[in-house]
Amino acid sequence: MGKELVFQTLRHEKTPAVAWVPFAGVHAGKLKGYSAQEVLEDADKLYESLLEVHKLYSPDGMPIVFDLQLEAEILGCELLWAKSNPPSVKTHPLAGSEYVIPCKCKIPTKESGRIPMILDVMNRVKKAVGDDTALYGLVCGPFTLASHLRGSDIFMDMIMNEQYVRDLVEFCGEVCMRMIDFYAEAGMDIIGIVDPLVSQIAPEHFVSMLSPTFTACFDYVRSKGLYSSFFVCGNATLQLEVMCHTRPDCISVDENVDIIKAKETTDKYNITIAGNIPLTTVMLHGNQQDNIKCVVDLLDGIDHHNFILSPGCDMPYDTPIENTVAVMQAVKNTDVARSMVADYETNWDDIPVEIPDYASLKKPLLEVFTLDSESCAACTYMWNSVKDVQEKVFGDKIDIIEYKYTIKENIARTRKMGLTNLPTLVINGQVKWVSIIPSRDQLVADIEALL
Amino acid sequence: MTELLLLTGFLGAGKTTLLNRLLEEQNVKTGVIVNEFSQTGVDGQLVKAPAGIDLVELNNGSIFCACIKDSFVSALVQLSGAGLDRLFVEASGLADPANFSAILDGIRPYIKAPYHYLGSVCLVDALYFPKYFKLLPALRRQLEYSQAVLINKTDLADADQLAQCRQLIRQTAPEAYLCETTYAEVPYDRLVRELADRSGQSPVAQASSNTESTRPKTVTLSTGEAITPQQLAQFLRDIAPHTYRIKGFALTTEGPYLVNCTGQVLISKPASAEDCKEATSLVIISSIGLVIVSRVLEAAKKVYSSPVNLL
Repeated sequence: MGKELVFQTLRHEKTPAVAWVPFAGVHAGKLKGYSAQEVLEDADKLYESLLEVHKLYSPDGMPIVFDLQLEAEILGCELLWAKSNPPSVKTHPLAGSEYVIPCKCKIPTKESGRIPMILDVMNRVKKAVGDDTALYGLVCGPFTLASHLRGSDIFMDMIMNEQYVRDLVEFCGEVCMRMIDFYAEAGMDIIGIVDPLVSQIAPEHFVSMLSPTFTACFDYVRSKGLYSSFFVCGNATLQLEVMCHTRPDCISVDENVDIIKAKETTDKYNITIAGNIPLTTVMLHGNQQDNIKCVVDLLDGIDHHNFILSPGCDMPYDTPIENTVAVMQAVKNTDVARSMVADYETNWDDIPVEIPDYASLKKPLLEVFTLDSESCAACTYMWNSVKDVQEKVFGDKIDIIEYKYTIKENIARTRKMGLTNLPTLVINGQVKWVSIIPSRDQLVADIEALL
Repeated sequence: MTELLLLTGFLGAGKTTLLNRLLEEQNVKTGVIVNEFSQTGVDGQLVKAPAGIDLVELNNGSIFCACIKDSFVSALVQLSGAGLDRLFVEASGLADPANFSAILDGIRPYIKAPYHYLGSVCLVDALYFPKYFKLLPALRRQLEYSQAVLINKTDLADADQLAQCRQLIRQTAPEAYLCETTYAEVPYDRLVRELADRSGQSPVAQASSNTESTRPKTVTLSTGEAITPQQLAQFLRDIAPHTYRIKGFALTTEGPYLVNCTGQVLISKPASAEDCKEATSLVIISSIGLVIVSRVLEAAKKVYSSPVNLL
């Protein structure tokens, strides 16, 4: 049974097969023709969509909702809704010069915001498919939540006022624990603490400001008899070791991480690793053969013990259904799938793109290569930090541009630039910041050196 | 008219002991409001309220904090119609009572019989008070707004610690009646006399510093598993340095124990028959924030064979 397969993997036992967990967040809505906003606000539409995920993709485990803005909205962030993405955070209530910790009376209750709708769907899905499918309750991680509340100022705070960051993250940890209580009661088997921004800070900062809160959250999940997973996006290679120290049962990584190497680290701590089918190059823009080949190569290259096959993160809304079905076939019938793609190759480099003539630029050019700043929190904050220095410091003395990986031409451009990690900030053709979000002072210094 | 007495003092200073002593002396109709900021009330279970006493428990916040002030106001209004001669209010350990007289003024139009506010008695723990006084602003407010101060547990402190306590109290509440006690032993009549001599000496009301944000993290451990008294002691020793207070009941293989720890001073003793509980329930007030969750679970793992529940 699929659910037991996931549990066995999270208990670090030998398994008869590899567990398959598609992270169909807003993509679930596509299966029934609903927009992202509809499935994130309407219980019946979300429920209907999740049953379709269960039917079409035969998952061993599945999340109910993948929306890292849910808690932030309750805590006062305004959201920008989109048709085919989860919402993004538009305003940061704690941004500014004062160091404020929100009142604990603002910690969500079961009646806050969209929580009643989500708990209702969790209970219904549990009843409908919970016997054979492991259900994931996803909670916004304490650092990403702190960033939503404070905005990009938090990266400056990490240098100027470490104690404030510790206190704010601890407050957000209390929010996490409350959400864990709710999701446990609603029948979730696995709690995912989703903190994409962890990949964007130095491991030393993680240890000095974030580790205790993360560890407490994972310990708390375990005390409830549930399994835990630490979701990160972006290149978390450097952070993996310190993430392991926080004692999750599983770590989930995306395509920015070399999962085979990463598994050497997680295996050292006997932690399961989940990942990392590329979201855009393969799932969104590839065809069925691309998807089959990717999964077969991954399964052939990685030790199956302590491993869950999943997309790198929340699947893009428009992921073709047949691609996900192909992934499912490849994991369930790997031998047949292998023979189907024996001689298959993908070539992105045929798409023509023009690289700027960096030597003749009239003013500094900041190019931000992202997965998509509207759907990937790390990308949002990298892009915001660049917009911030343009708006507040340099104005039209600099040019800025974002290249989203969700567009085919930008995949080709990223390859031509030789970039292997997203988000990456390139200044005048030089790779300056890879997966680490610069503080305003650092970025200003980089630009002033060119003026 | 109902005589009203407020009891303040940090966690473990001896408020419940004093309250129980005062209740034993009462031969008139008496009411009690017990306030704790944990979700699970322990003091309410420990107060030995004789039959016929109206006991109201207000948990999950300070009665001076906006979070449950409305419940406190409702309780005062309701008890004003209960024909009480006396009402004791036991505040939570981190209560800042600066707004108490404003609360009393505010309820005047709604009460059925008037309250006569005798004053506030603040207990301080001779051993720990100087240390916590520096860390916790609420303790300064408790002293400033008290008309009587009991330095309690004097038998546990040395001469230097006592001198330090006296100095801090005299600096902060120079006019208050000062009394040194063990087990909060002071007769009610004497307290009332001393308070009467100082009536009207309370500073002007201010906003309380008690807010949801200043509440320390509190967790409640529960389990049906019994461990040996030695294991219980080990568990308490492991976590006590990370707490302001641990309080509640614990099942042991030799019967239920009453647990009452302040800082490093650990007291666990067999519970009396009327205190017997069917499950362990320990309220743990953290001095290290959220990380207490990890410390408690690590310590529990060493002595309990099954996972414990933490809320």
